[in-house]
Amino acid sequence: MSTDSMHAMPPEPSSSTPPPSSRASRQDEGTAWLGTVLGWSAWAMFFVSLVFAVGWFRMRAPWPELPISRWAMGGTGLALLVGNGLLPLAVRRDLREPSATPFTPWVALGLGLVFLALQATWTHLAWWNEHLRIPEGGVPASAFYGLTALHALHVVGVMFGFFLVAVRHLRGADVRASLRRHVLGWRFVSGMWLFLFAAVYLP
Amino acid sequence: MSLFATDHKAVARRYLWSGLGFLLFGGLLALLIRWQWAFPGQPVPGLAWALPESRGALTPPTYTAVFTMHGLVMIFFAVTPLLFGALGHFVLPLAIGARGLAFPRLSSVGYWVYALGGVLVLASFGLRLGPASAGWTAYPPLSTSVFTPGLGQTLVTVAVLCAGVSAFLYGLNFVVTVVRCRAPGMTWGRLPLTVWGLFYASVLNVLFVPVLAAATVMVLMDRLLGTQFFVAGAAAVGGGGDPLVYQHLFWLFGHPEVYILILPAWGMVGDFVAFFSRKPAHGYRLTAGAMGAVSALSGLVYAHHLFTSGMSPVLGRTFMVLTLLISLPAEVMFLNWLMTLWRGSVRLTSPMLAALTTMVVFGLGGITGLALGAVATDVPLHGTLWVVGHFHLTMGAASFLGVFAGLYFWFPKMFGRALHEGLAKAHVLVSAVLFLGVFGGQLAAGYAGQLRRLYDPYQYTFLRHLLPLNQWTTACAFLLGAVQVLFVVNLVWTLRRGRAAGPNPWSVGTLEWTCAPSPPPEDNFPHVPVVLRGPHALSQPESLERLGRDWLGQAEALPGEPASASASEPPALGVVT
Repeated sequence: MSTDSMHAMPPEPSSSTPPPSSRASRQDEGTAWLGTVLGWSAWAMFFVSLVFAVGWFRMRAPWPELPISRWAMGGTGLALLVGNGLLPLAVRRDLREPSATPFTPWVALGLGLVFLALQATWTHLAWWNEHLRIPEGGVPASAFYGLTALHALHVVGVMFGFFLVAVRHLRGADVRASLRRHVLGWRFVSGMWLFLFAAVYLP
Repeated sequence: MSLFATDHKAVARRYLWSGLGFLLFGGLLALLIRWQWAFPGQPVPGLAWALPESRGALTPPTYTAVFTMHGLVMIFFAVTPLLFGALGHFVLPLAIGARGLAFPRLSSVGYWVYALGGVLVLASFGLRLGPASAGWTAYPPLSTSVFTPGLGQTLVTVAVLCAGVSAFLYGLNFVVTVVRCRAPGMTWGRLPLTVWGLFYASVLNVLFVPVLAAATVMVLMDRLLGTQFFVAGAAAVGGGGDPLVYQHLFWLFGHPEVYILILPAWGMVGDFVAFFSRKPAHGYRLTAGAMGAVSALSGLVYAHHLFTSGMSPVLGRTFMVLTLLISLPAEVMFLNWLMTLWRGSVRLTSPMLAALTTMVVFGLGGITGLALGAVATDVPLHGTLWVVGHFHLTMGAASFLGVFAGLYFWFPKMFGRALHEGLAKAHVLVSAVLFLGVFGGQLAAGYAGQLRRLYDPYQYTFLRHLLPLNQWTTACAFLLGAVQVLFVVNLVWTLRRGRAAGPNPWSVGTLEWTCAPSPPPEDNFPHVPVVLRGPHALSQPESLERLGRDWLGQAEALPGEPASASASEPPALGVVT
């Protein structure tokens, strides 16, 4: 989300307050932060609705065990959960050393790629080796492939955001504030993966 | 002006023209439906070019596509974009004293996503199997490729997703703008009621549009990827899914959508009855609170749409009670409007007439909805035209008149030119009367048992006597369509040769009228206003005594009144000195 031309409140002159431009910029950052938090929080309703639908199906009939080990699926999610711990540390380091190349986008891109590669491997194995197909697999197979793909699309979106931040940094822009905001996207996909794991991957 | 300009007023104008175009298109589709009910199977004059095989007559598949697209176009591409996209984008930053929306680029992106959806809708009409034809609700399994094959349904489903994304983006933008970008002194208690309406509706948008997106994406996956979420019965493979899940998800969005469409109009009615009764709004805080209560309850009542879909009686009773409860805050609001009018110096301007007629049609729509909120009366009425008449009064007529109330009110600010009042009043009054004729006729036909969506209702003996009623209703609908020419003529003439509007032609005190010229410059205000009072400072004795007029700007200090930071501000615009 752009903060370039955000409206800022008029500053009130005071000797103890920071200069107007810095206050306005802080307010812009606050506005962008609020927008990001509200946006992701509201968009969680998308996954809540998907989980509601899967819950409905699970109440109707027993949910079969997936052909892929739940440990493998759970281990895959660790890439996201580890990112939750690592990314704030990386952001802190990047904020401390503004002149250095930021770590955060690269950590995020690396962990995201690991996660997506593992998810792709499990779905590939499920389709080709274990013959879990749609439409023959009914709702469980639909939920496995469909919701995994929708979640993966969100992960790709968040990674793309980090990629753009890296590009902006290479072009010389100050990306510290956007780094903090983009970590919220990572938190979102991690949280939603927990939903996915509980609703779809566990029998 | 650039098509990609991010100024909220430019985005608003883009939404305005697109929304009016889709309103015209959706209205023409409505006339086709009415023609079919008055003269079933007979050629529509002038339509032979589009339907050469039937010489202009609607065939059953065409009729199904027409009523589907009418609903979709009106809700997702006409009324919502006009209320939020046009009026919301234009008014909200000006009314709170902001220089723009919190995220200007996001609002421009939102418009182009909406425009992409609009293009897909129009493109679907050129396809071999035609556009969507599974009803505006797109209930599966009818909306799956098993029962509605062809690209049209898919394109329109993607278009709805686009409209949803656009609504989510401007909803988020509006919420953040109201929370973060208010002018100094613009406390929550000083917000115009229109802003309250837009704010609550935006909260509902960001909460419930993702639910529609989830349901729509699952339908798309069923259509395109072969998933089985909603496919049931003989068409199902591997056990199959359950179409009822879609109904729950759809209405979890769909019922708040009713309030999304009416809350901004309610806000405008609240403001306009105060402005044009020259009185402060009666029970301002109660009205704002009542709108909040309606918004909170709106997500808890959705299952009354599913009384006939199969539901535990306990759930049915619970949703019935919640549904009937929502009428209480609505009543509070209504009574406050009436109390504002009481003993006011009522000026029947075109926005005021539109606001009053909104009250009338919404009141009637609300009362007829009570029968649908109670299980015992909903069951026999649910499949009939009663439902159609009810929701057209609330979502159609009330929202339409609300849009025109806002358009007539803010047009001088938007374009710097004043519309012809006589034409505007005639347009509003005749439209309102004809709305009552059309939708009242539907209520009567529904009460008599006419089922909705029937291609030829008169194939049933017990409905044949309703033909004259339907023909009368159709006549009202065609007249209603014709009356819109008044607006078109007024609009075109005013834009070309209309007289220049003053900065505050309505003599009211809100920021857009008192602190910004007409039309406002790119940054809205020469100086960011410092707000000193609420939006309805009308007929105040101090103002009459010291200024000799009955209104006071929200950022205007009375002579002798401590004006805090506004001391160096210029006097309110529109003041004749």
